[in-house]
Amino acid sequence: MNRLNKRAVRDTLGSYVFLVPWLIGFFLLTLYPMCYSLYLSFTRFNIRTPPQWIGMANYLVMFKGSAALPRDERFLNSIWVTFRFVFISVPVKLVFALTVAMLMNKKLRLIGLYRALYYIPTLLGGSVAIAVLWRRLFASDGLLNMILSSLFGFTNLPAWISNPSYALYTLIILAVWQFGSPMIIFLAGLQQIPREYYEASSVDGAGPIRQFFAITLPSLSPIIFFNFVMQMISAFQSFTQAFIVSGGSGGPLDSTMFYSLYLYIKGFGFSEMGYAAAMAWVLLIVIAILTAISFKSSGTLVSYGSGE
Amino acid sequence: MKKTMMVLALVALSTVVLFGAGVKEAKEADSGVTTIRWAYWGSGQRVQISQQAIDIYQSRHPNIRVNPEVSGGAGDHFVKVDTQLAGFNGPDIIQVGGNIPDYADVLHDLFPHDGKEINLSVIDPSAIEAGTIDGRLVGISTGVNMPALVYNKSLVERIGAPLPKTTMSYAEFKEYLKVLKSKLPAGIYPMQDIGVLSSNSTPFGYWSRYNGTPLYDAATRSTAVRPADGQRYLELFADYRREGLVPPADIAAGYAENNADSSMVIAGKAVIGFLWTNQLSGYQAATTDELAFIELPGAAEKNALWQPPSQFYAVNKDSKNLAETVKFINFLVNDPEAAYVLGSDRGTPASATARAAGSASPADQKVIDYMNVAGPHSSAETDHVPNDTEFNSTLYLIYQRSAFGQITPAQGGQQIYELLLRMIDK
Repeated sequence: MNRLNKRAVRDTLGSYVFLVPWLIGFFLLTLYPMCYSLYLSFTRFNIRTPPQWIGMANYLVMFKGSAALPRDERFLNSIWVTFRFVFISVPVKLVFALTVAMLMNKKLRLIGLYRALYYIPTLLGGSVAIAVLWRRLFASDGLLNMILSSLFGFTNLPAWISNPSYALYTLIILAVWQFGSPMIIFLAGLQQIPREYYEASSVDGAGPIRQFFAITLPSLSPIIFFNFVMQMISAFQSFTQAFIVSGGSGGPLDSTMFYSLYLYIKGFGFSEMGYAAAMAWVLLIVIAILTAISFKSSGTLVSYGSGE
Repeated sequence: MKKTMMVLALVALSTVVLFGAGVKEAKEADSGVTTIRWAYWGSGQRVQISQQAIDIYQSRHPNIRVNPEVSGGAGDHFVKVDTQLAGFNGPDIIQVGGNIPDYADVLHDLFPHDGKEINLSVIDPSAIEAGTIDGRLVGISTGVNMPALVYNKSLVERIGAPLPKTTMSYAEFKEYLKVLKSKLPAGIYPMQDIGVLSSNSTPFGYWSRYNGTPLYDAATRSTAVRPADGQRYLELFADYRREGLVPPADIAAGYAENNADSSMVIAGKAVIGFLWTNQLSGYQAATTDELAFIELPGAAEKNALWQPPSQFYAVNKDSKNLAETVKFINFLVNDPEAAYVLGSDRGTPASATARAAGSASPADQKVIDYMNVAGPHSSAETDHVPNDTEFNSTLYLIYQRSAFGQITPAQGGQQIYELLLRMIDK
């Protein structure tokens, strides 16, 4: 017995030794910065001088204003902009990705090539070059307006990208255009659905539309749910596109001021690192709550088949 | 026993992995080469001429290597430098601008080096004074700068309009914009809306000086601007916009005006725009059209222009190569060969030996000509409003609210006033 115990202790120790490189990384690069940022969120910190403890003031300014400062309207606006972006771009992107995935699921010649081609925007989409291209595409004298005016004779076209009413939608189009990764996941899911279901249902006289709603959608529901959660989380963190397209300002009129962009401007532009840290924690909590809601509601909407 | 050995081996291995980078650095220092890190921001033109200056210096001093750390804009530059300083890994030379007071604590006093590594006696006293904070010389002026309006001379000639006078009143200026408007094809505007500048407190600051209501007085911590002044500024440009003398708000906002690449004048869509004199050679390099300067309107009536130092070469107080770094700065500001290639890209030199060297860039002659006319139409600089970045960002937002018609100029004036008070109190 004693000998066995000793051996168990040694084995445990041994496994920790093997974990050491990863643990060092986790403690120094993840856990410590997280705890430090939680501490900073209760301070005023401009990077150059040591942080000063100010309690809940940063959080108060965000939502109702503190003793010294009024409520931060730009913060509230950035939440509104981000929510609109997330809840328009994610569903549209998923519908688009599912549609393309179903087309790609057909037995066509060169299907492998098509699948690769449709994935390319996802590889390019997050890059600075594409954001610059977007600027040129939707500018007042950009490609879109050239086509609209020369082929269709429209006049007085707006500068889509620098007009507060449209700017956010150009970014939504950019996000939807990067439909590749959910498409690939949908495609994998589609190929998991047994062919027998479709054969049996067509014997019973079900058409393609009935089949889609009665077989494809329910069988895919776990995949749709997974894609929804992943896309929502990454959409909440969008930064690059808005930063490049608006020249770092979130303009025009703060209409593309994403949450993470405002966080960056507050922290690095206005040297309010404490406030920026507090914003990061609010974002973490918001994403956690929304994910929890998604999981709770998934019980009724998502079917995991007869695996149990 | 075997296990113990293995554990030791693993620990040793991870130590090597973790500290491997440090070993490499230490080796470099032994080889006798001193590396100076020089952080600055600027366009392609500035990078090119700065590298030429570095090459000259390195050929004279084979044991020195200068590594430039360049950012595209001042915003990115300070983000990077702040982060490096927080990590005790700041560059040796930190280029700073009007925000030099914010950095005074982390900068090295250069007075003790006078007559040894650097010769301050040939530098204009006003430039030395500008870099002195609490009796410490924390930065050497890279040169003098002036705000100006730049215009596309070739374009004016092509449309057959008369060239503008260098000095105009606001009334004459508007008449001239109308003349341009009558000759220009649709889609090209007489002037870019200068409120869309990311540093739009500069044109607004000029307007305030012209009206005798400076933005800020550091001694009394107060502003002379009242809501009605902000309102009249917004109305002035609303009037230009209504008459088509500046573009509609959404077209103007399509140009970030951060540098030549995002400039409406360089894009050929506007004749006149705002520019600092030191930016001319960079902008001129980006277009085949000929550019030239006029004064901001009304400058002569009120001596409303000013001549601030463009930027400063400042030394990180934690630099490990203080003496070599200061020597290199002496080369940049005083050496005739350096001055010849650097020209007025960082401002017209404040050093007599540098000025005597002339310049390789033809655009610099235009800067000197402009300064000869506009210099007498300037007066002492207004104090900088605290929290400069936030002030600019929010002023830009208020200006756009008015330009897009979301608020009236009267509401905008009130918001500008409240913003100023908030920045001063912060």
